[in-house]
Amino acid sequence: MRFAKYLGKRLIISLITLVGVVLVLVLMTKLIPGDPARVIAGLNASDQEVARIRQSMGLDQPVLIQFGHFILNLLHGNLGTSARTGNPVVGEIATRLPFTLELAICGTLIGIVFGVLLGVLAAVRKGTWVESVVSALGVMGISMPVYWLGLLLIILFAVQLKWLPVAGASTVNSIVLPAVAVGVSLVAVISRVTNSSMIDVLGQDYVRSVRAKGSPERVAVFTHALRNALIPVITVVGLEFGTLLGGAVLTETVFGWPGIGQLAVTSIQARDYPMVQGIVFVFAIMFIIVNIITDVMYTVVDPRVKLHG
Amino acid sequence: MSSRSSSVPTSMGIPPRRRRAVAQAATFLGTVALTVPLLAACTTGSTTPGPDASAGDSAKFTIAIASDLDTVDPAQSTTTAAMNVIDYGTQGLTVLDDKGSVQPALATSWDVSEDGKTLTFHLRKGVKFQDGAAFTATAAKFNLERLLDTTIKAPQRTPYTVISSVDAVDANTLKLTLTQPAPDLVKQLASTPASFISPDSVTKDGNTYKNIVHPVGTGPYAFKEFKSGQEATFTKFNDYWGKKPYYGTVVFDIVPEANTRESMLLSGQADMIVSPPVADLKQLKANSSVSVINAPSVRTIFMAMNNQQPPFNDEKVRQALNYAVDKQAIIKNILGGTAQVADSPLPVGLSGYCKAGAYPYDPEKAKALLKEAGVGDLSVVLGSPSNHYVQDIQASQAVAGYLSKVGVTAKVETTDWPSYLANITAPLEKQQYNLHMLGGAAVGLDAQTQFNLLRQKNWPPASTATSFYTNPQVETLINEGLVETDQTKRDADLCQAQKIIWNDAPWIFLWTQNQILAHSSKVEGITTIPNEKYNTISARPVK
Amino acid sequence: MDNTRADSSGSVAHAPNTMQMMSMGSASRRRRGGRWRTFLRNRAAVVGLVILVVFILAAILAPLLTPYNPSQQDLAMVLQPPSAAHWLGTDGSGRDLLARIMFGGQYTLIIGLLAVTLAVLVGVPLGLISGYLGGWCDMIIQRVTDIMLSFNTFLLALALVAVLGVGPTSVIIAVGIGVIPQFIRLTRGVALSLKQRVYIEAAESFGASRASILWRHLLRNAVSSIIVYATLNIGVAILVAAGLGFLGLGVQPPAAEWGTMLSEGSQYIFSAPYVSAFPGLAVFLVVLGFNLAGDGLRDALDPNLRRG
Repeated sequence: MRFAKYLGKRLIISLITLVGVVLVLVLMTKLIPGDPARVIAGLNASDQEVARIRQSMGLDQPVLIQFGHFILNLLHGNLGTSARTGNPVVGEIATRLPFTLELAICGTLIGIVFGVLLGVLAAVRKGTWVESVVSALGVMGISMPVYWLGLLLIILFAVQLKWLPVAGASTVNSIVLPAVAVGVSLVAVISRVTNSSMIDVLGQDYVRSVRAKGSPERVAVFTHALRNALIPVITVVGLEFGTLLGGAVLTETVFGWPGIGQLAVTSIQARDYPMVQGIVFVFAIMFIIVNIITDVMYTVVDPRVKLHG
Repeated sequence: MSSRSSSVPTSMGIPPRRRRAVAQAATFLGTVALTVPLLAACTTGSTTPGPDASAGDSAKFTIAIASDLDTVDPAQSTTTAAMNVIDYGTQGLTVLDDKGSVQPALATSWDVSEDGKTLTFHLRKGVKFQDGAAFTATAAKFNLERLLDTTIKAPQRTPYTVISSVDAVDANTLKLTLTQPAPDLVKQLASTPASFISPDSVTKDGNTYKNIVHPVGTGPYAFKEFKSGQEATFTKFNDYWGKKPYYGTVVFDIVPEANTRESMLLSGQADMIVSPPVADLKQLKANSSVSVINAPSVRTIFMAMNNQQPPFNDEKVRQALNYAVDKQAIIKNILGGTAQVADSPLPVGLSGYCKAGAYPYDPEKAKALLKEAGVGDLSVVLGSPSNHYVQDIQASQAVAGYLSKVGVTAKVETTDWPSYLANITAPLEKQQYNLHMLGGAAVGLDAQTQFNLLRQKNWPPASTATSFYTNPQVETLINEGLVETDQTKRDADLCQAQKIIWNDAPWIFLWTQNQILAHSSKVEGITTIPNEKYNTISARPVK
Repeated sequence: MDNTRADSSGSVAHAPNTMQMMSMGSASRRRRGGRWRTFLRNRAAVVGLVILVVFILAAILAPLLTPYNPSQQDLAMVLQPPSAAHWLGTDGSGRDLLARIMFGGQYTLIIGLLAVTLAVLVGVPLGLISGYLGGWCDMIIQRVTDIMLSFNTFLLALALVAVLGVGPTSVIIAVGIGVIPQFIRLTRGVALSLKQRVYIEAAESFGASRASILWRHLLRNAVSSIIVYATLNIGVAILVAAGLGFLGLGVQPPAAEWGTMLSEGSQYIFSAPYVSAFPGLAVFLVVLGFNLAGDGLRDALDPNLRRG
């Protein structure tokens, strides 16, 4: 019951937030410099055609009316029509969303698997060169610009070694390089978090007592400690989801990966307001959902934390 | 939390070293073994099978193109990239050949009336649309009226607004009535916006009258699907009226990065690519598995000067800047030899083009002219797009370098394309660049579109004559020439206009960009059209 | 795990800030006297500091250190690999890469510094006010901060640049705004924890005005945390600014900003990979430097940050 109340309250707050985001979006588009009608029409179009396009985009209407239209359309599940292509925004986003999700999920998997692995390794090997190396890798991982890493990966694996495709999404192993690029910073973060919490847990009394019972060290380390040490990992994944998505935008550009990130960049470059609005809106919803899920999972996994309010 | 000093040993027990090492190795390998299938499970990307070895129908031709298609509706098309793709499936009354001349397509012949205001087209018989419907004058009428319908978004409508009415005289005769003579109209009718889709298809497959997402035309390939940002697929149309193409499927892969396209070509993922990186042309030409096509196009690159603003309102200054820039050197070093120095405001290949003059590289003459004009050291702002034309920002910087050698300090400023476009189409008093780079290309290979860049009625903010140039004599010549039905007189008028403009030098005339394609040397039959289009319909494997 | 905190806004508090979580359990280096000595004993931090000093000096002294002008084109020497004449090679217009990287450092460092300064000037007061005053004010600020935090600095900056236009000023403002929420969270946390402290209540009971309480007690306690966060966030700011440059939405060519250079260089990836590799390396090293130095500062100045 308490949970339902909490969830209800969160949802209402989220809804209000979304409305705020939309209002800001519509306001923003008024401020953007550059005339989208001329950009879309091209150099050779006459001014009458440009004026017609401008009118059909509804750009000459006041902010509140545009805002009203957006909300009205939204209630019908319609996010508007792309100014650049004339196709429904929802359709374009729906086509590309799976690609970005695929990238995010694979990147997260890489981050969790290798991050936890390295973190545990460093914790178990604390004080040796292994820990230093992992720690160094960790700092380097979060310092690395993801687009540079992407370019380096392309140069090494696609151009020099020719093991993997350079870009695009057409073959089965096209996902590898982009996912690695996106996942690296997550690996760094998770390895550091896992390392810290593993060290904490390893020092705790109950682990010592398990060890005293005589089970081999490996079992003690991996089954008992890991389970508890994974708690912060969950939180971190949720926190870092935003970073992952930001990295996806850049990674998709470098690798020509047809996700929403690439669409966002193209739309901003083309001043396609409706598309930018739609994408930001979808992002906002994704963030809110991930936030709520992370909060909930956090309470489920660690009963010491209570839900307030 | 229990405190933990650094004296806690890492190994909290004393198992043999070797056992631990093996265990760790095993764990690591095990994790890797787990990850790989997980990663494999991640892949949902469309798996397109490689090119088939067996002949013809089951063979696929893959082209990697540079920009996403903003539309597949012929009437709405405005970018060359989209038009080129749409052209595989739809055709119009006429078509342009590889020299840019008009050839019959869905019209086998046409007559022009004495006064030039009536065009009668005799349509090809026995032509079918890809949905089985017959092509008739009624279908043609439907399409042209749709193009002229102002409720349809058609940025490239203007050349066709001279048509006042369209009549289907009978099933195979189409009559166009014009408001004034338009000798270039027949050429314009070869352009994509004037191509035909089946009227029946307008209500099917997600199409609406206002927005076609599945064009059904009469061309050799039928549109199959378009995945935005990824690819467009066409399949061979077996009832095509003309010579059937070889490949059963054509796929256009959308790949914005030039290096990626290049590596797709080198790895065999693509059979042909557009615009390979200019810096790699030498290697590509030397590569025996690749053939490079370096064909002239009508894309004219120039520096528009603000002709209304001192000191650019002085013809001597403008001519001086033309002498100051070494175009050949820029073409060689920055463009990799993929352009031709301009010798007229119109590019070669446009109707009415004639050679107007030359401004060879002569910095001394430039300095002399500047001195004559009474101009000392000059400080100007040079606007440039970046990543819009081939090597645009690099070329602009090179131009600025040459200008500085004759005493003109040019500060190069760039911004993203929409802002740049807004800047150069701002009203005269709000112009922030003293000169800026622009590229014009008349897709219909007509003189009018190019001249539009130099006429007062198109001064910003109305349109894109961004050099604010006008010359009454030129205006008259153009007005008369464009409606002149006598070809000789027309060519004379337009040629004289070009020569005057050349002398007035409203622009720093730079070059016309070539169209560069690279394809597998195992394929032949690929041609180009000077309006920056490629044509692989006759492509086939080398025997 | 004692660094979770339920806050008054009614949500389950996230373990605040990933950065804090990552530092849990780092060795207690703060043993024998002196914060400066603690810092210097940390080898990683010293490496970071050295890197930063090298780049800062290179940026400041650039005109003296290289004979080349970063915008000097040499059409005959286009895309030359590293050689004796050009230590890092030349780019697509024949400009010396080393010179461009050194001069470009000016952009990078100034943008990073100004952006974080903006964030501190706006975020710190907001956070203090929010934490100390509580109530509606706190709730609204927290909601907005939550959204901005979860949206991620880069995406926020990207959206802002779409509105503000391109160029260095917009980048500074966009990145600055993107980083503000970090500081709001930080100082709010400090304000909340100090609010409980007895001496503030004591000061209040003596009639000291709210403003002066805020100023003296809270700010003084927050200073070292602010310094640490600022240092770490300069690295973030630089990454974001370079990312915008890479997308063509940041500092525009022909300016030698590193992200912009990366973008220009990416087209030569086959024939001349060094044109993009070196600017990227520069970004990486500088960000690494700020991260290492920031970590070291945190260990030396305020171990409390680790424990939350």
